[in-house]
Amino acid sequence: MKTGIFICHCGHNIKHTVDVAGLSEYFRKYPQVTVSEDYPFLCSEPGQNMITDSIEKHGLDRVIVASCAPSLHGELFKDLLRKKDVNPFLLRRVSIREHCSWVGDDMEENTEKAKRLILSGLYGAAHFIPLEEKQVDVNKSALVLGGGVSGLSAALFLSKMDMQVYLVEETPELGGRVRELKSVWPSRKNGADIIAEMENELKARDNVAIFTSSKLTNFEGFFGNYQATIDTPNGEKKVMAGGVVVAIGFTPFDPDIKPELGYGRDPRIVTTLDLERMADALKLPDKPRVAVLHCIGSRDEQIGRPYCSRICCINALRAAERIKERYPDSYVESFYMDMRAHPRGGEEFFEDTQEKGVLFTRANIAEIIPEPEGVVLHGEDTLLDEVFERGFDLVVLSIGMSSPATSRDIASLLKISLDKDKFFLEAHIKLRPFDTAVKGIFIAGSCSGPKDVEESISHGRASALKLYGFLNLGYAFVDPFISIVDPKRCSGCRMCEQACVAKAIKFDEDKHVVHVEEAACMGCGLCNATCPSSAISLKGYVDTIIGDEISALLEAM
Amino acid sequence: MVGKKITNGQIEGALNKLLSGGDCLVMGFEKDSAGIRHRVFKDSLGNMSITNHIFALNGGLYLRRLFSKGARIALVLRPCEIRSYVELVKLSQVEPENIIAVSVDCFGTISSKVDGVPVDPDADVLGKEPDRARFACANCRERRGVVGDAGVRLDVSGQYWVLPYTEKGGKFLSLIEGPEEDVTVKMAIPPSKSAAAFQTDMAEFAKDFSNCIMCMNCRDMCPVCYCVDCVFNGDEYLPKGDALFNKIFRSGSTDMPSGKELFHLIRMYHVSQTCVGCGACEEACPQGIPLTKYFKGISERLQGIFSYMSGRDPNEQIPMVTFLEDELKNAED
Repeated sequence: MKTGIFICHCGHNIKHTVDVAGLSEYFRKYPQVTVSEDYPFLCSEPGQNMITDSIEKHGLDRVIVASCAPSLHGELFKDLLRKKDVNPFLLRRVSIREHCSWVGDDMEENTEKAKRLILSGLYGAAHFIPLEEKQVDVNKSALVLGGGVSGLSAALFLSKMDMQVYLVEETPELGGRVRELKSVWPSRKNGADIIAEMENELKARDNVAIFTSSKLTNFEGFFGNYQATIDTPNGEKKVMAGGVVVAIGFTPFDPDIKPELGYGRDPRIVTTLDLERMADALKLPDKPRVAVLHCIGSRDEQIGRPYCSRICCINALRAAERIKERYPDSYVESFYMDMRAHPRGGEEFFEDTQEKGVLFTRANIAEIIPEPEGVVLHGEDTLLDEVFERGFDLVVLSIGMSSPATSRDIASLLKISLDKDKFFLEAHIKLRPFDTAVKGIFIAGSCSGPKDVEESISHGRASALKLYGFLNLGYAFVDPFISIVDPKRCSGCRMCEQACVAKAIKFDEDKHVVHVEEAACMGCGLCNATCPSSAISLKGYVDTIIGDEISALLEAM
Repeated sequence: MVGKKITNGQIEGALNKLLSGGDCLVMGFEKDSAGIRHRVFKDSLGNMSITNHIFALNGGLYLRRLFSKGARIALVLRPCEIRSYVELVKLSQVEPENIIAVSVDCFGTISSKVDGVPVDPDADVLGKEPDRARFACANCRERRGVVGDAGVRLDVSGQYWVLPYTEKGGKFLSLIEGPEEDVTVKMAIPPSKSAAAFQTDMAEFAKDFSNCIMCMNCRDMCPVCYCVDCVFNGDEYLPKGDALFNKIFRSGSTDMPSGKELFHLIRMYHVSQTCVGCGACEEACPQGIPLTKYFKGISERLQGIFSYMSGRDPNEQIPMVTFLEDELKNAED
């Protein structure tokens, strides 16, 4: 075995607290180490050349790069091995920056730690074997869950890209919540019209199958080859999908959870959605007094909704504006915590509304008490530090967004994660905002956190575009880090089957052992850890690698 | 619940009916002047005993990897043995379709290592000579015949009953002559109290296990240690020769056999969710290590965290395979 160890200074980043020259010197004494060098920037062109030249000159078959965290420059160093016809999985990255030099200031201790980390890389790399990335065929079709604006825009995009689309909607109609909106800000278009436009376009396409009043009941398979079972009014349907866009929307906050708001006990207390539905049927005196309350079901730790719902400030402004337009002599007072009219044009809309005569009071409302002569608000003006009581003819609650009622069910079916507020969790908030941790499953619209109509539509298209990018080639590479089962050792107890997040483990009834569906395996190693007889091992992370790496960290040196 | 009163010989009658078909076996106990032990009966029951107050092994052990769909088998065993059978069913190590499991009220057992114990199928060890009862029996959590498909139970007046718990148990009941009756009378064995919380530390553990010779009898006789190929069969965890001496050069001196604590800890991790606390491990240990104290104590504590009891109910899933997010909160508390 010929191992090359390359230690990076990262300019000053590593060098200033780790004795890099001492380290490269130290590792030269190991018999399996052929080259041990340190260099200011291994990621620079001369640094890269140093590695490739060493591979060529000494015929290295293991390369250890001790530098930044493996997520940075991962592919860069792998490519160096590929260039020299060395299997890229014979590379071992050791993080001596994030895990070492950035953590402490003590030169001696940092160097000792870096030594241990590199040694564990050396012990582990000794067990590496060349691995092949596998190519699998993928289905150019997509399952879209949810027929709201987000789901519709995703379905439309995918359909236009010549992908077969299966759209599943739980209710009898497409359109979701937007259908109920009479005037969608800022375009002031009727929600039903927006939906009709998208729906007609979608229905005219022949590569779209729409299942309304339907539910996803089972979900199996792996990226590019998912099998979904859909319970439809015409019986059970099974479809094959290359990927999934989850766009199941949100549930409007139910003000019943806060009984002090008095919602449901008096017809004069309504939500913004009720106001939308009542529309012109609203009957108020000629000079009505109307209160609009912000942040109902948002920014409220006590009821487990600490987040801002983002849409309700605009909704509250719309409600206030609407009353003012219909009853020009009305007294409209808006009670807010902070004004967050954040979308484009929102701030101007806020100014307009003020100019139209809507009053804004920064306040906390403690209680709403319906009296025969009016609904009385008890609250505290947080600017003036004053407690007040005011009577109104109508109270409008600007309700926020709660996570979709079915988010837990869908998450467990698709094996994707939820965040603390039970919205779907993205793979990375900045770098992979549309992806989930499961390959080929994307989230779109307000099921991933509160969004307005405009954002939901663009989110839907973006997720669809990403999915299209994944499936368009017709094939995909699968990471070689997958589990393999030794059938001779397998007892067939099926514990691993339960542990498998990707549902990649299948039980063979006749042989009474399990096997792993390679393309479905995510390489998480849960089965590996579950198996009592070590009948399962994870390629690239076999037990001997882990065991020896731990020994290197703990042993006397 | 309905059941049938039985007199001596009626269970045997029912079992003989099963045997007469020629496609059914009975696993139970056989007694003679020399002793009392497990036996699988084929054509006739001979000297069968439905109780056995001498413990040598757990019969559940021999059911592992019984997948045959042709032969039928009736088990008439102690509750701890039926419980280990139920755990093996959950782990897909037994095909339960053709098995009728009958648990019989247990009055405690004496170790088979004790000499000169008279053969007495009616012996009430825990009631009459509790000092001779095994540690596992003195601390038993479920010695009532309430597990499996049917149970044989003794009421306070000294009358034996057969009670069905499942459809298969009902069929077994129909083989017994006599009328079905509502069971209103109190049974002799009351439900056990919950176990005292077990607590130990590494020093005590290392001391108790210091005499281990790693013969692995405890593993081999454990009914729920079901792997076809144990991780300890290779040199990976039990280094010998070069592997051992390399290890010593790398990490310093070691006591022998090297890694015995690890062996017991790993085994404990593997069986603690399914351990029925029968004490078969301790029975098999040539070194007199108090295995039951640890395995039973730790398992009962662990299972208690998940409100689980091994072998109680075939529909109750092993905690490890039912991960619930709320459990994380419990762990935090």
